[in-house]
Amino acid sequence: MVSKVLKITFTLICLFFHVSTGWCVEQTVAYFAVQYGQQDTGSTAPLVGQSDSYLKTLETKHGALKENRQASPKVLSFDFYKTNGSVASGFGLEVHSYKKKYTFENDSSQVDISAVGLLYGLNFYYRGDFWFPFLGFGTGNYSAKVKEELVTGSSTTYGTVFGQVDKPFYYKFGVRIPINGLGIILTQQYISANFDVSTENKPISLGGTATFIGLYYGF
Amino acid sequence: MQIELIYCDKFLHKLKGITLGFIFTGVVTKFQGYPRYSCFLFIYMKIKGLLKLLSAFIISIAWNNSAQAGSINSGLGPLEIRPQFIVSQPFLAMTPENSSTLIGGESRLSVGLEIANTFVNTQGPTEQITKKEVVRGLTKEDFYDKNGDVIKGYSLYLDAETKRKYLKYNYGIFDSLEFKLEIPFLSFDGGFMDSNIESVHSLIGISNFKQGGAYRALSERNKYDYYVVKDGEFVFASNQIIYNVRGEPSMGLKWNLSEGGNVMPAVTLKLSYKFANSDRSGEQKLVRSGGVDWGHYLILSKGFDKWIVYFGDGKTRIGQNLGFASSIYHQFMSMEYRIEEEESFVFQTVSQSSIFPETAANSRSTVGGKQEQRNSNLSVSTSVSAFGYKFFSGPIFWETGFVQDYNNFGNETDFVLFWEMGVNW
Repeated sequence: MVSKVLKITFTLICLFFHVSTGWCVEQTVAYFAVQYGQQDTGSTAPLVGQSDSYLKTLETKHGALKENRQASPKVLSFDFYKTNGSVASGFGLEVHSYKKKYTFENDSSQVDISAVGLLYGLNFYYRGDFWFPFLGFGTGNYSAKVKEELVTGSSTTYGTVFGQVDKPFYYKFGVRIPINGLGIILTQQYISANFDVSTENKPISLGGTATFIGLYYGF
Repeated sequence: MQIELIYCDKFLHKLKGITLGFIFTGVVTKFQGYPRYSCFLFIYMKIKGLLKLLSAFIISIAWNNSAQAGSINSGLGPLEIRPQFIVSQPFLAMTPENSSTLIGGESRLSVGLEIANTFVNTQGPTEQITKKEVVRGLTKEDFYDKNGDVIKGYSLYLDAETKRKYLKYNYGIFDSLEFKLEIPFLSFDGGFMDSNIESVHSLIGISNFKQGGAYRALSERNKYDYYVVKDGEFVFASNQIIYNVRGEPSMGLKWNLSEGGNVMPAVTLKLSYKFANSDRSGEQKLVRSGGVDWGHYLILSKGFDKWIVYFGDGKTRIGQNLGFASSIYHQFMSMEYRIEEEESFVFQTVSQSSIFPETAANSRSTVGGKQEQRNSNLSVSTSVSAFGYKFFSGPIFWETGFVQDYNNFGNETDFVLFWEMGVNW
């Protein structure tokens, strides 16, 4: 029985991984991908990021944050590439969205942040036998809403600040593992996108360091 | 020579006291056994009852002889749509454009129509302005807060559809230098799109009684009201519809610095200049700033086979800002998919800084949702996305599409439809 299962599994692996890897010399390919992962907004993107201070300022008044700075973005992306042999260059468009709520140790103050990033940039990848490593960089814009409810003694102040980061910068690297037209994508991304919160006149990072895993469809 | 097919059509474009007529004729002939396609465009002008055939533009160009824009790093180009927010209509605004230019000696004449629906009611959350107040006639006190105190910064009640028609002429001075002249004509009215927009909101679960639906349900549909208040005083207060009021003309130069190559992108610098018309009497003050504006766009484009990507970064300097922003920053990204050599789909995003400058409005309050705190967000940058279709058929050029905001803070249009049609020779 075990031997039969192993044979079927082996046959299925062969079917999935050894189908039509004969790439033509030059062609255009496009990918849709859905990814999910963790983004540490408190971690500054190496080389390009700047530290933020909005939440630190609130911490001095309302106590330490109860939550960490990890957000869980959903990412939808579309990429196209012009391939030339085993290398390819192309362009990608991706939409990131997440929400995060922060509360404080000393009082019932809270801050809700929601952010949507539309990022685009150039990508390059290498077509290996079983996996395609890639790297990319680009810009775009982030729009965000910061909703404050801050308690000081017996009074509460409210503030809702909308805003946009006009010129964020990101770079990323990762790998695509193709399984026929579908595949798995792993991405490590570093985003610099500091948004100035006008109530405190201090920046908050909407980017940071992110790790995503997802599925893609190539055509 | 044997004539196989003749197609003839006519359309009129009515401006104030002037009717522009366009007659398009397409002819398919066989000449020495080979098919030959020709088209003619007659343009005539009728002024107050007198038919005066000024034109002249009798264009007869063989289908396969027409010059077609495009290289490996440029296609038919981005969607050439400017910001349509009603408050920014009197000012120059930079538009995305192709990195390639017309070749030396080539001309293009086009007409366009951009219809933008805008609805903003900063008094919506407190229901200080509803159908009742609009029928009664708005006063500046309607824009004070609930306690009757003057609000710092801007307050708005905008319920309008703007129609920007334009006549545009482009000419290739050299192979890489292009000249442009544009004359706009503006109409502000109640339009026709309100019920459709409200229906779409309802369909996707957005309430027209709440902020997401811009408090549209508090107002009558398809009405025109244009009120802008700053620090408690009216800047604009109009509920009289205007039709085809001539705006200030603008001219531009576009210089293709490099066509790029397999690695490097094409690089183009675009400069625009709006002439000043100091006659701002009556309704003209809504469509003319009376000052000189100028701006630039640096445009990069890169081709990936059938896909072309365009980026632009630019700035408009406003000479006579009427208390609004003295400069506006623009960025765009455009993705063109070339279905055929003469046919493309384009997806585009455009970001721009707000026409409203930062004010002394306080972004915090002790009462949740206080108007001053809400209105401080009008100075935030906005973004829109656009989708369109571009088509060349011999010398005839056609572009159409729509624009939808995706982070409207009360300083952007809700929905825009646009068309442009022209002829190259």
